[in-house]
Amino acid sequence: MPVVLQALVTVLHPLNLFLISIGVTAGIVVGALPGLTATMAIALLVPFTFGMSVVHALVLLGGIYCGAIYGGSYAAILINTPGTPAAIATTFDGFALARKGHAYRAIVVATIASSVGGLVGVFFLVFLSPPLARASLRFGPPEFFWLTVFGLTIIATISPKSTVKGLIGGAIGLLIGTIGISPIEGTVRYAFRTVALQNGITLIPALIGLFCLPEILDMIGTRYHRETAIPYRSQRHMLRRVWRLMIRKPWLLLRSSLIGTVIGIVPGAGANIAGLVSYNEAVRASRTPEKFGEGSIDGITASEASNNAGVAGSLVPLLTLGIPGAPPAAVLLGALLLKGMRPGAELFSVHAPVTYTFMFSLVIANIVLLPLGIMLGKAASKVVTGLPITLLAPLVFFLSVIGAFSIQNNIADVYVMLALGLVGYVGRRVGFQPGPIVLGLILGMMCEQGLVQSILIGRASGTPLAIFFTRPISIVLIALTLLSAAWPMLARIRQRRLPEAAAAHTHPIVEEKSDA
Amino acid sequence: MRRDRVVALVLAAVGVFAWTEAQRYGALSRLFPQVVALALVVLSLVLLAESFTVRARRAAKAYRSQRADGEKPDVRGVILSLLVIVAWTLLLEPLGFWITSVLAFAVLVFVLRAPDQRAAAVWKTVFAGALLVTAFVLLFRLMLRVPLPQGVLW
Amino acid sequence: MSKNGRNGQITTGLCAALAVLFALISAAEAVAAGTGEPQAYPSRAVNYVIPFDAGGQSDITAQYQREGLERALGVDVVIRHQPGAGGALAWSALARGSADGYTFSGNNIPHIIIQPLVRENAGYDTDDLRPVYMFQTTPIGLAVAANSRFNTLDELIAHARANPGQITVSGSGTHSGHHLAILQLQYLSDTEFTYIPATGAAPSVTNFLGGHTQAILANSDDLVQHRNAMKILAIGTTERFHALPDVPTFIERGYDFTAGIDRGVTVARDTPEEIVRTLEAAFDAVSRDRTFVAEMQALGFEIHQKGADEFSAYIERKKEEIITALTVLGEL
Repeated sequence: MPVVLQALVTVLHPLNLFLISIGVTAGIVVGALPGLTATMAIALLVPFTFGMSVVHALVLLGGIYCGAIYGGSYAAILINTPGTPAAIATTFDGFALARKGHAYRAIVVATIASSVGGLVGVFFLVFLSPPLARASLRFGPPEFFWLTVFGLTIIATISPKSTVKGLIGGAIGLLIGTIGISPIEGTVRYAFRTVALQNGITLIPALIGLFCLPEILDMIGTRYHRETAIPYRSQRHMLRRVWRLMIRKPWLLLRSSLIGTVIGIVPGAGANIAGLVSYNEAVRASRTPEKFGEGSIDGITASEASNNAGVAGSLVPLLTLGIPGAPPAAVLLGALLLKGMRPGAELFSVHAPVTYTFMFSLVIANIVLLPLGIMLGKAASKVVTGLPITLLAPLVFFLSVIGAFSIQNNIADVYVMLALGLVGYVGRRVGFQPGPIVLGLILGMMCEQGLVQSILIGRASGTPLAIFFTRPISIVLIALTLLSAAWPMLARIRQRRLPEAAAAHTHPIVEEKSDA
Repeated sequence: MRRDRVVALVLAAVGVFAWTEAQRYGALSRLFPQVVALALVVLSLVLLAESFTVRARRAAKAYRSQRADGEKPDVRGVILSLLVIVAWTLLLEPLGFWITSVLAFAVLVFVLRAPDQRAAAVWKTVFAGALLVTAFVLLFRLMLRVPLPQGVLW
Repeated sequence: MSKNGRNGQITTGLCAALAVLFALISAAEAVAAGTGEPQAYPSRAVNYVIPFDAGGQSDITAQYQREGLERALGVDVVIRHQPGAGGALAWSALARGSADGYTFSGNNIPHIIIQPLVRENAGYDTDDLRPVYMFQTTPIGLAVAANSRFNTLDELIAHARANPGQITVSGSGTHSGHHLAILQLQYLSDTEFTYIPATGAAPSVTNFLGGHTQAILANSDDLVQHRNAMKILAIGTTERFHALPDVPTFIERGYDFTAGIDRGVTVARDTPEEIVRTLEAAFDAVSRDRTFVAEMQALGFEIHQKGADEFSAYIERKKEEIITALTVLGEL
């Protein structure tokens, strides 16, 4: 395959390697700041790539995409706020680990997982794009509806203390998601004649508010001072140490990466929920599910491997069909069109050298992510854990404000951030976690759209309800949902049957404490 | 727990409100919010019922004794900081993004300072804050081209 | 005493430092905002606001125009995205913002006309905005899958007439150009389709390509891009569309309506006349550039060169047309 070889040579050109590294670094920084998303980073850079050759432009943008999704884990681990929506599940264990003084270790786990996940995703992108893309089209409105219903069962996993409160949080999130113009009839709902609310509640400001503000206020209220409470711990050979721990569970890494790739491929689902679904599965497959949420490296692995695999996944329908799998991919589509490259068959014939170079650049991006991430991650964890609370709390709030504003250059988003922040704080005081609320918000729009579109299509075919229950992928999703909903019971039965196994299985962190 | 009862009643009320408000929307715009509102009401009632169980009472007792033993959260600090944060947000547009952020940052540093902290350290933090705010504002303004509100000042 | 002295020093130092910071910010503002003296427009960077997501038709056009605009205006052109509420978010911000010509926004017809008509409070009125230039249209076409049993518009209409509501048609949004088109087609052909709105062009195309709807109303650039996967039955132009010459128009087939989405730019209503003219001239220069025209046409866009006056008249005409149509169709 001379084209592939040629692409390989091109991507290894020093200038391309340099551009990829720049892209990944810039992406990490952007992703790490809450409020700056991968979509925004790519959109900002498209004008700069206008004068570049198409190869240089694409390798740069691809690097940013990978870097940004990974960078979201920093904020998740260090300040309990997902830097990008994809990193929500990383907060559960990442922050818990950081509070124990293991911020750097958490970042190393995230880095390795992201790198591996990304590489698995690219593997599927390179070798299996056309069949996967065709399969992704089979996801229609009923499948989206069931996918979101399945997604909602994750709530049980991420709110172990009180399932009822978790479900209530999810319902609140779904309800918040209905604010604004309705998807089918164009009715303005719950806006109370305010223009700002007609647009609905934008995800990122809501995310920042719900996660970040309660964290700041808790920081203030309990006055926990990380520097004095838990000193920053560095270890020699951290990379090798963590890798040895992670490789013991190759199935976890692989499964998470696969989940990320598949969900990334489904257009519209995107990496946002990939991390959560994968986390859910990791908890369910684990012999020690109770360790999750307390700083389990498995939780971080599941989330990060999956969301970075989703990056390549979202490019599958983009490159083969011209359908973006996620918002950042939509911006990439614009960039491709600007360069006169029409996604589809042409991309793999006429433009094959460029296309394969782009794909290989993602391989490189996921490889350079490792050293760059370790370096930047070490610096970031040292700085953030070292800051006194008097500086950290105001700084995090300032970043929240500037991030919420920049999403749409809209001051109303800052007010939304504050309002939901207060809701989140009060909620936390009475036992509600932000995770389920945000999950509801993410899934709400997709769920309602799938539901009403299916009803319309069902009505047209004369059998309104059959459409929900007769399609093969739907049936699989329904089965998964039922299984997931019944899981807590099944798990209890299994737990009873395997008390010795659970007791014998000590947690990696505990194991490692001796050499910390 | 008594807290849970209040929360459950408030949320049930929210659900009822969402249901009635949706009543005037078209059939397809109403369906989803009303189903969710119904779920919210039902779940709130479950939460209410749960709060009367023996287990909940025991948990409440444990919680109270734990709170009595543990450190008291800094309520005054939280309320003051909240006021600063709200003022910060509301003044951004009328006053200007940069000046509001620098000033509010400084005020918050003073609110948060520990009683034994030396003034020099506090001022140093204020200065660092001003520097960081300025750096970010410049970055967003000039490089990322984000039109941060300028207000009457800056 | 010594402690106080030290504090004094720190305070003084801090004040000095803040003064320096302030100077820095003002300098940056001055660079960004010009020196404050009234100068010939434009004396600083202008903002080109796209009321839709990055990667969409408006965005792609703007990215193409940027370089030419910068050449014509002599300042930086910054493309910003302010999506939301079908464009209404950006337009209400523009209507409320300062009318100095430093911020202008994409203007999409029919969205900009329909939103204030069908919503209690869209935050702006079409008359709050001053049209500057209209540069492209994507005509809307009706297509079925490549393996569909329908080969012509007549076959599809005949089936829809015999089986009301049985044919599903994918489109982008409610109260959008696609929605208007299906309402007009139903009215003129006395048929009933089931319109399945998606939240944008991309998800609508996905629904159609996946076989979840039987037909689609799509923008011409999407039709051009996916033409191998579909049979395009008719298109909403007055004459045959350059990029798809084999496709008949709705008018040819006896349904007297056109459908399309027109894109241009607009400023706040009270913007001074000479500024409007300067912008108009800049967009005119870009839109007459041969490479721009050729590249846009290849992507499936129809290029226009409508100046401010012509564009205003066009919007007025469209507005009346839409009001009539919506009233007849019972949407108003």
